Amino acid sequence: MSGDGGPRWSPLAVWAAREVQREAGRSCLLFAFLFLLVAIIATPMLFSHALAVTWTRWMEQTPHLVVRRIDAGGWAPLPAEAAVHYARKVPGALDPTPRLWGVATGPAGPVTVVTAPADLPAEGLPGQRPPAPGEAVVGRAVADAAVDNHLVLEQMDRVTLAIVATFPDNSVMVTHDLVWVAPPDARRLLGMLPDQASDLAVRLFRSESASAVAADLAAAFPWPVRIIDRDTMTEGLRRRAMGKGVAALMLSLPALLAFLWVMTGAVTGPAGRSAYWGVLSAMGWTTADLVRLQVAKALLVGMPALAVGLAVACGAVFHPMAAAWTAFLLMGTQQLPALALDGSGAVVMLLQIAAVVGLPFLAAVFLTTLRGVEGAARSTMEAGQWH
Amino acid sequence: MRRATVVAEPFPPAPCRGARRLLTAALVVVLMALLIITGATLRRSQQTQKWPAAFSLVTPALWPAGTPRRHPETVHPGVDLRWCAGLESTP
Amino acid sequence: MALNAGLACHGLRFGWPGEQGDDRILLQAVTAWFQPGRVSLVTGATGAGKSTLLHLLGGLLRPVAGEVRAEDQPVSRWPARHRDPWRRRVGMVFQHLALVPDLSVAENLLLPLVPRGMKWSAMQAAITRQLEAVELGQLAAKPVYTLSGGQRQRLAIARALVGAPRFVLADEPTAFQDDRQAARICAQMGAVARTGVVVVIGSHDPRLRNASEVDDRWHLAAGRLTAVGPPQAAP
Repeated sequence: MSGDGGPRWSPLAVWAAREVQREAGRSCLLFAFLFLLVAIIATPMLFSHALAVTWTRWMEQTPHLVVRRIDAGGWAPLPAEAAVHYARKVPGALDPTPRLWGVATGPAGPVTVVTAPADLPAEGLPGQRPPAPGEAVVGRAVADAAVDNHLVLEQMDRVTLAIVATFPDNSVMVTHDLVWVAPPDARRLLGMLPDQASDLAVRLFRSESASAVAADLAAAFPWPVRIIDRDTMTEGLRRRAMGKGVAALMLSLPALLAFLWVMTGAVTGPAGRSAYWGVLSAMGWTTADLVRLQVAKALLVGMPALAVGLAVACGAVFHPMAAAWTAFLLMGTQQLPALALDGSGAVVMLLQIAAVVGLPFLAAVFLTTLRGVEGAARSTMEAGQWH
Repeated sequence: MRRATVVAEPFPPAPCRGARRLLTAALVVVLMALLIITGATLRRSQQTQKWPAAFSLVTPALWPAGTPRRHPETVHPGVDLRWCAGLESTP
Repeated sequence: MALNAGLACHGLRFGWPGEQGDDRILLQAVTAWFQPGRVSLVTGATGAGKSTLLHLLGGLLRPVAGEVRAEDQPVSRWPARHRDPWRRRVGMVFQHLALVPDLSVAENLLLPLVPRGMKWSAMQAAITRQLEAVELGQLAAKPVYTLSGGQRQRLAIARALVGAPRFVLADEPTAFQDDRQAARICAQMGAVARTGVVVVIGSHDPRLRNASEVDDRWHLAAGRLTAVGPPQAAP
């Protein structure tokens, strides 16, 4: 029994805690250091991982291929009906969908203009009808920049739109900069004729056949086209996400390892420790007891520090507002939505990070203690502290 | 009349209450942190997956509109971006 | 009494390393038998090697030659992994006390008990008993640095006895005590010895030399230990 209620702790654990109390300043310093170390390492790694997972899931919903007509001057609008006709001739190419979209200049910079979603998510904008000419449904960033609920867009023409709705917050990673307008407004704005589309989105029966179908599609159209495929873009995004995390980690790692070494030395080997261990040894503490005590102390400080560091990293990555700041710091992107990242599969990564920091720390404590305990009993007589 | 003053001896003499509280606090902190971590890592993005499909979009809105990262379908090695709508300022 | 009981040393030789690489021999061919149930007093001039002898008997130092046997076990030849746990059976009062000043009085008594696997309540009971025995019960929660020299010394004695040792080695245990406390410590050592414990005291305090509780007297001079009074045969 503990003697005064509360959990039943082993005497060694209680004594380890008592020693941590005795060295409160040093213990706090160690806690702060370990916590920062874990948070600094975990945040970029977790962010890049979560971003890659989220993107991968996100990309599963995107078209497999996008066919864009090009000419000597750049991209050119394509005739929608003809494009669909040609695409349908290619085996394996499903649901060719003309997209009418483009980029226009809004009050706070470029925005992405889109039209006619095939199927709005039911939970997104309940009861929302497609915008009529002169109306717009806008993303969060566009809504924030609008004046008096009106939006002026310029590209090939100047169009004034009344904002009738804003996309919901949970769609912000997709709709941050979107302006959903009626097709006539989009054509006016982007300078396209009726029956012209910006490009053609194509789904595939088998995603593995992307390169073969892309070649067939390129041959099927009578104009030069540029085709991008989803897998290439997904891989590029994933590599970019992971690259950012690894780069941030590599930049901080040498300094952090140096800190780890210095701090472990400072914590485990203060002056007078040998004499104290000598007294304990004289009273029957074995080397194993002393190592257990030191490891218990290290765990008592290290475990909460690791856990809090990881929790802070999780907060910085998975809390939508904090994630935007983290993305800003790591990726340098200026206009960021509140990221809602996917946490799936991050447990293994968190365990790896805990091991990367925790195991060297425990090993340093273990080895330093073993070295310090050597000859501890004899030091009882020789240490100046007792004389 | 003589009065005897009895001073009770403390028991337990070495309770180490602060140390016990520290152990309990450490345990609570670890459990709370683990709870937060578990909640964060097990949760799937609340973002509905239907939005990208709804507009047939190919990238998330992480980069400013008008840049090749936001609109990779507009990029081509042989195309001068200065002549592309909305991409005039892109390097 | 069984001849193999108690603490014995045979041909014990020890020297500290000298500055020129030659060893300064402090003890040579020390042979003695400290019997259980008796209080043995080792006297000698300052620097004669009393403390060193006690540290050799307690397994804190290794002899250059000879051996220390505890209950017929050659403890001085044991490797550290066996000798360290054996020290739990030894209660040692250091001349310089070796208390931890920032810990409380009672917490200093907790130190030898923590690695023994005792129940927490049993530890607290043992601490209470020892504090009462050395008249420090009211000071249990006080930090050691607030105690007087005499109180600290009594605390060091309590720490040596709190683990119910089989061997008590006390180095100048009455140095800072007034006559009443010195007499009480003598009586306490006598009472401990009566329970079958080996008690060896190293001191040049005349109050101990003349104490009736002391059963055997030894004198250490020129590196040799000689029995004063009826000689004791080694087992």
